Amino acid sequence: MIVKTGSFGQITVGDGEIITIPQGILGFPDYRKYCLIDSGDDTLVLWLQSMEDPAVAFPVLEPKIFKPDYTVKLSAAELRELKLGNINQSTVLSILTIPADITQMSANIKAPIVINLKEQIARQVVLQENEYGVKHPMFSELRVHLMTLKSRRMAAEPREPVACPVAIKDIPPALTVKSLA
Amino acid sequence: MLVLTRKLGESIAIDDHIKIVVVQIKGKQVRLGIQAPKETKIHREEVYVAIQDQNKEAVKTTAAVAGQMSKILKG
Repeated sequence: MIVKTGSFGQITVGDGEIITIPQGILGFPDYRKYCLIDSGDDTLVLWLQSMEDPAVAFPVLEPKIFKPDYTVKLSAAELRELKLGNINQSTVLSILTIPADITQMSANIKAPIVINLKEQIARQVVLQENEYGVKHPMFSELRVHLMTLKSRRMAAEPREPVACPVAIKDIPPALTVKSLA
Repeated sequence: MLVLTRKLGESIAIDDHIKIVVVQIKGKQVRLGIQAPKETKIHREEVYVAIQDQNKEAVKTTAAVAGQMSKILKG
């Protein structure tokens, strides 16, 4: 189906690229259908785009990139809601806030998005850990990570960025999720 | 909403495994003790409000800023 987006024009999204968030994202309870868009800019930041409202798109990033020791402990109820029989078939994304001064970008590590990659179901989970904040600074860490990638890919030919949806089943599991019980 | 009146030291049971006790009453503040299974998630309401506000902030990222991101992060 064709999805209108605020930043990437019209994008064709297939069944394998749709994520259902049955309870919605906190503050956005009306939207259930999302897709993940790679803008093609090689920053590793993806966009969790609402398929129901073009203006609603959350920049997201895998938290292990800027916080290697990050773990997400899920309760039995959360695992059930996510239909997550095998926690290794999941990945975790943090929602980013990116102000005009990009160096001040931050990640919400208190309430990550957990995705069941097989069932294509996701949920925003509120973690119990008090040390996890909704505005965790991470610009420097992401920058260092991208530098490392750049030096490894010696002759990466510059290409025109093309935005495309991400096939959910092709996302590698993050092994970030643990069971709370 | 169910509204119950409790005195200091009295408690409320929710299901079989959750107990909420009024531990202290001081002026406008009430201290509550909560006994619940380990897997029950308990948060102050403000945590949810902060997350909702942050989510609303996150969708405000403009296309112009997004377009600059690659240059600033990789430059």
